[in-house]
Amino acid sequence: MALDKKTIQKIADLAKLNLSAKEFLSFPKQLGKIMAYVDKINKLKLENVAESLTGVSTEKSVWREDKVKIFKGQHLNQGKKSGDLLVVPKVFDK
Amino acid sequence: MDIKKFDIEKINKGYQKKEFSAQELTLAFLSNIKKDKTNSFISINENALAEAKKVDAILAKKKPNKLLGLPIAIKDTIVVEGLRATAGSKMLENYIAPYSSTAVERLKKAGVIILGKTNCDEFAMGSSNENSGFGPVKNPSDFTRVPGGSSGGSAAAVAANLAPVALGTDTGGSIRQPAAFCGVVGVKPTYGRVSRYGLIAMASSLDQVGPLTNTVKDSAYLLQAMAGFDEYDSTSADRSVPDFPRACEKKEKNLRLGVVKEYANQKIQPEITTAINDVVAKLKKDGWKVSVVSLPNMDYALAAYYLIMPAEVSSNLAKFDGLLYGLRKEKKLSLDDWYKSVRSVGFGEETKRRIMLGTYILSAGYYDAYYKQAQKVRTLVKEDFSQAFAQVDVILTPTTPTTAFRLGEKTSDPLSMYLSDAFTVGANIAGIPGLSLPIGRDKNNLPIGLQLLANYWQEEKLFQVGSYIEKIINAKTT
Repeated sequence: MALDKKTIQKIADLAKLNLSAKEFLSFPKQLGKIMAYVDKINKLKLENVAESLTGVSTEKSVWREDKVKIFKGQHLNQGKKSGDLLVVPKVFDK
Repeated sequence: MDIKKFDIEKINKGYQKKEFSAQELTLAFLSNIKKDKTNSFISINENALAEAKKVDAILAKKKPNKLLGLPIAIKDTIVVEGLRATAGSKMLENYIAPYSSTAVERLKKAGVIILGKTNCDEFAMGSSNENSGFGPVKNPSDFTRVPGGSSGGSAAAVAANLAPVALGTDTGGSIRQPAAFCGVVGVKPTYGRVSRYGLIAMASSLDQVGPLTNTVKDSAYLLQAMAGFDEYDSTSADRSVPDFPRACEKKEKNLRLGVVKEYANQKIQPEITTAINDVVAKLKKDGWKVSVVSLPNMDYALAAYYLIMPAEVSSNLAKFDGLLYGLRKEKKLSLDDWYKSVRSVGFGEETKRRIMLGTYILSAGYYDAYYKQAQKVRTLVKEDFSQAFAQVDVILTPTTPTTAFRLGEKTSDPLSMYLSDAFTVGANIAGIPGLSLPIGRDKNNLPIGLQLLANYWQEEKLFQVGSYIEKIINAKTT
């Protein structure tokens, strides 16, 4: 059950990836094989089963006050800084 | 100085008796790392000797606590302030972490000396360490074989005497499987036991930080120091931490043990089955109660894992866009082309494969058929364990279906690689703790691992039974 090329291209676009020629050749079959394997869960009768988003579900949520703490790390090594701000590259025009 | 199979108590006694200084010990490990042929380390901590010097100053004044001056290797997915953290990816090749993870911060407070950062599969995605952007790690027992993954560098480093202890991370078996392949002890704690703050996330509902060590008790010491509530991780559990090292000293044979009925029909290397049967027979002879339990949905746990994990991977790795940190393009590009060009160069093939899978699974029309269903299977897996743990305290299983496979053996067939996680993923899906310990070797002299599983927050039971089995094995081999 290989995925078709059109689907692979669509997923790559959604995932913001350019695939290499080699990946474009190997992924349809590999992903198809993995999906065929994982599809076995659809053999189970799951209509009346609740979903679990995590394994440990009995713990209470952890809250803390939404307060700004000034980060004093010395190793913000990447990119230019302007005052306390990081300067990011310009990407909105070619 | 002979540092072979050094453990925490040996190091601690050595310091107390002034047999060696922290600088001498650190230097001995650093020189082993320098001569290393396994490719276990991605980077070395240039300040390790300076840190050891500080420890020596403290040692001159007072009796050391257990972890003071303990050299340690840290998996490169765990951030340490001032050290490179690549997570095994070219995407973060030059990234220096501006802060330390909570687990490391706590160990540092206890006085450990960080030797360096260990190699791993890219963003912890793999079972062989062949997906690292910095070359594969070789198994210290046989250089033609894989060390397992994703914490392959940490397991190999401990096995090859490059570090007495190491930290790894486990999302589907990434501590226990390499521990089994390299012949060391590895523990995946209960989800929420150790803070994930400062762990470069792979699949947030499954990831846990844990130790890789030469002895069961060393893992107990490290877990003791790392565990406990952390306000920086919203999934961190607010509960007290038991005395794990003490659990290793318990002499009682009061726990009920179980073996899994369904695993009798699984394809397992015969020598692994024999080794486990021998341990079980000895335990029974010594008076432990062993019964058979059923985990009927375990076969579906792996399928659910390979749906939930990539879904979380594709979401977590969306942040690597090359704008704020990490790999960058110097060209002027539109936003979409910028993302694509950075991510295509920065990510390796397996990472792209899993991002693609996750994106597919979460896309319209497939979300209900796969992701939602997988979360329901998670409920079934939890129920399986809950019923089994009503009958027994600790479940014994193989850690892996085979011993270490050859480098390159499974790289062209990702699914066959995924199947090597068959016995370990259940613990991550359910969130329960697991421990792997070496129990022998196969005819090729490759280590065999035994996995122990316990119910939520019951790591003490793993340490108690693990220590007992360790004594059986040591008595056999010495």
